[in-house]
Order: sequence, then structure tokens, then C-alpha cells
Amino acid sequence: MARVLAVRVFLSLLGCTVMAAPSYAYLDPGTGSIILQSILAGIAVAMGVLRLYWYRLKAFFSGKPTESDGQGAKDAEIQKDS
Amino acid sequence: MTDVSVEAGSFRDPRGRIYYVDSRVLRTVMPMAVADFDYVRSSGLIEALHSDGKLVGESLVDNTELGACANGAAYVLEHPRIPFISYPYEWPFSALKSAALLHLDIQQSALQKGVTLTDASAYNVQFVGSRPIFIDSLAFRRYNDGEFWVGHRQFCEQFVNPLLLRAYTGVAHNAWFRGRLEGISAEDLSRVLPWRSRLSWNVLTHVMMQARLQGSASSNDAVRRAKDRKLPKIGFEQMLHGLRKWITKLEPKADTRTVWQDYAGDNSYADAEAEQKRAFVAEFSSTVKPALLFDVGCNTGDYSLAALENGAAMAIGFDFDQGALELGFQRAVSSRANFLPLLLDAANPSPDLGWRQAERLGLQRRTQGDAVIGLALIHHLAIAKNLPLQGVIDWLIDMAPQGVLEFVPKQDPMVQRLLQLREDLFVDYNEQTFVDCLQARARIVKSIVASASGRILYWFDRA
Repeated sequence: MARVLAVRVFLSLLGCTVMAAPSYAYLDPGTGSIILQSILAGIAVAMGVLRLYWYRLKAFFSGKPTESDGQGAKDAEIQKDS
Repeated sequence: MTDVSVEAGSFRDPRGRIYYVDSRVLRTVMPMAVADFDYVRSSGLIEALHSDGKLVGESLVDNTELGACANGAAYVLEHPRIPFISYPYEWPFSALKSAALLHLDIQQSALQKGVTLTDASAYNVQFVGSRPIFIDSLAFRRYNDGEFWVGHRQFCEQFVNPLLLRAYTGVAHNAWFRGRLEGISAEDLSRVLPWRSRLSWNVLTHVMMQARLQGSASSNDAVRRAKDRKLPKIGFEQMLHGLRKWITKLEPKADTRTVWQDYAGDNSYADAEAEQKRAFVAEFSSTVKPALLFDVGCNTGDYSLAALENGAAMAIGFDFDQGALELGFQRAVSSRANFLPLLLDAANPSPDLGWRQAERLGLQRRTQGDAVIGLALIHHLAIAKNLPLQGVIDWLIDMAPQGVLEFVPKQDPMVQRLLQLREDLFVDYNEQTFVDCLQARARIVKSIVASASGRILYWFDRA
């Protein structure tokens, strides 16, 4: 599951660097909102990466690769909630 | 002869408009919306949301159904009619909260299917009983990887900020929201929230930081830089998830218990008398079987529920007390009754508002029902608010052809309490005047004395 998360984070970042996304919006999203969202997204992605390495580190020292399943379950929960 | 009219509030998004053809609700889908419309329908999202009861139904109909109004439209859709349209400035806290959660649920489900919402307007949510339902089926379009949540600021202004106002200061959102139909801006809210609210990461970011960034980022350069930014999908999902978790926990500030919240246990008439009133309402309801009943001064909804259990199909309650509305809404949720309690100050009902004063309809233009009940109400309006008795009775009778109104005499302890600190100027306030006012407009079908103090219930019929 950790690998799945890693791939998702990587693809998201890649997607954002290579693709411009002009899209139709009749609503003005507001500059403040956009800057805030990019800050929040940066934090979220950074946390995701940190969490990933944290689980890897824990798994390395405990020798239990199943630790990352906990994250997998959490991810599944997020998906289920949404 | 068909009567076609356009919904005056449906003009912001040029991709389609709502029309009324007699009692039917039709929507145009303009050519500019077709690509998104087809993409979203092929994603299966619309069907899934509809089967979960989250989205209003839709069916494609022939363009000719809309006559000349369909000119230029690619498709015409028909939606079932929502029996009563309400606005966020009339909703109690819990209703606004459940509408906010519905919006987030829909945005989350949409994202999974590669779809996003074009806005985050609270007016796109309506209620059937206490169940929120999304009504704008054209608010969906294809999601482009890396794009921002266009509706974020609007979601904050129309959902988050009004909820925070009540949660942190105890002040209800309604009056402010009615005064500013776009909701409460982060800039304004940041000025009134207490300092301790900054300890919340979500308040700090979605309110304080957003307000600061909006204020400092108005230069052309900042706008250009903002346009170049991207939001990774995972960041979008996490933001929605975080907001959902946070909003689920928001509650009205604890020290704002209201007088009427305790009314049921503290009122002047005994249980047997309340039971007698319930029985009268039940008899009225089972005879009239109203499709839409208005309960003015509904308190926590006792008599609405009695009517609903006895033949009424749907009840809209009105009260001015936030605590009573809150309890009423929770009762409706837990009993799954088709009951929606809304905020109303009878001396100042919602007026026509918005663009050309036609965008949001005043209460009077929405309250045409089959039945109305006004129990333990009229003395508050006639005595506490000094409203003329004939005017109050006319106003209630105008809402529906049949109803039950209660007369509370001056010797009743509740009226005595209202007169405790003031001069009794109400020389005409008596049973005879009440009956004369009623009979000037309607026939009295039946009446009963409903309390030892001499309260009387009148069943009227103006048909």
C-alpha cells in the first residue's frame, strides 16, 4: 500500500508540473483561496511523503513490513468516507 | 394554454437556465455545456448520486416541451418539483451543517469519477423534510488534473464561515446571511472571531490566512502568479476530507441555550391539555390531508409531527427561536418525519432579495399551502409585537384555505407574563374580536376550549 501511496503522490506532483489546466469557471475563485489551496496542498503532499518515509523507517527497524498496511487501511477509510 | 416563466434566480451560469412550464420544472442545457454534460453522464456519477438520494432526479425531454424558450438549447431536462424552496438564511445551524456535508460528499464522489463542481453555492441545496438534496444538475463538469477547487472560497463564505460564527461566538448566521446573500466573507469573519479560535488549524488557514492572502494578493502580479499554481489531486482530496471531518464536529456554542428550547417542559398548560390540542390537530389533519402544511410558531414541532402522523404529507415549521429550531430539526432527522423547521420573525419575514429583487423570493410568495396551523402564536404577535390582530389573522389565513388557529385569552398566564412590565393597551384583544376577525375571512368549522385558562382552538375554512 505504501507503494500505491508513493505512486499517487508522484503522479500528482508530476501531473501538476507538466500539465496546464485551463478550465471553464463562471465563478471567480478568489486569489486568496487559490494561494491558500496551493499552500495547503504543499503541506498535505509533504506530510504524505513524510508519512511514507516514517512507515518505511518503522518497517525497517521493526522488520514488520505489515506496518504499512495500517496506512493502507487509513487510505481506504479516506476513500470510503468520500 | 401553457404558462412559461424563467426562474429569476437562474442566470449566473450561462450553460443553462431553469424554466417553469405550468407546474413543471425544465432546464436548458446550452451547446457550451454539452461536452461536460455528456462526459459527466457517462461517468455514472449522476445515477449514483441520484440513487443515494443526494441529487434531484432528471430526465431528457423533447425540446419542444419548452417552446421558443428552448431555442439554441442542446437538450432540455425535466426535474421533479421541490415542494418548498428555502434559503440558507432561513435554515437552522444543523440544516446548514447537513447541507455543507452533502456538498462535500458530492464533491468527493465527483472527484473519484473525474468530475468537479463549478461552484459551491448553498442555494443549490434544498430540503425534503430534513434531508438535504442537491438541485443543480448542471453544476458538474470534467475535472482537469491539477486544477483548483473553484468553489473553495464560496464554500467558505456560504457554509463554513456562517457555521463558525455560531460555533465560536454564539451568534446565529441568519441575519448576516440575509443581509449579504453571498454569505460571510473570511475578511469580515476574521475580525469578529475570538483570539482563541486561531488555535484551530482549520480556522487559522481557511479563515485567517485566506483573509490575509485575499487582502494582500490583489495586485495583477499576484493574480498572474496564482493562475499558474496547481493543486495536486491528492491535495484536493485531503482538503475535502479535512473539511468534512472538521465540519462534522462543529456545534453551536454551548452557552447559547434559548428560552423556547425549554418551552415544552416549562409552559403554562398541562400535559392533558397539550394532548387535547394534539388530538384536535390530528383530527383536522386526517380530514384535510394537506400535501403541504405550514406550522407557524412551530416550536420544536410537536403539532407538525402530530399532523404528519395523521395524514399531512409535508410540514414546514416556522419559529424565531434558534434553540427550538435546532431541536425541531434534530427531531425531524431522528424520526425521519417530512418536517423542516425554518427561521421566521413574523414581524419581519424574508423579503424578495437579490438581483432586481427577484432572485430569492420573499416568504409570502412561497407560502401557498393546503393548511396552516398557528398555535400559541397569535398573542405573541398581537401583544408582544403590537401587530394588529386582524392583520395577523389575515396573514395566516392567506397561507392556506384551511387551518387551525388558537386564541389565548388575557387571563392566561402566558399573556399575563407578556403584560407584566407594560401597560395593557390591547382593549380589543378578546375572544369576540378574534372570532369577528376570523369570520370576516372564513367559516369556523369547529372549535374547542383547549385549556382551563380558556384557550380556544378554531378550525377555519375559507374555501
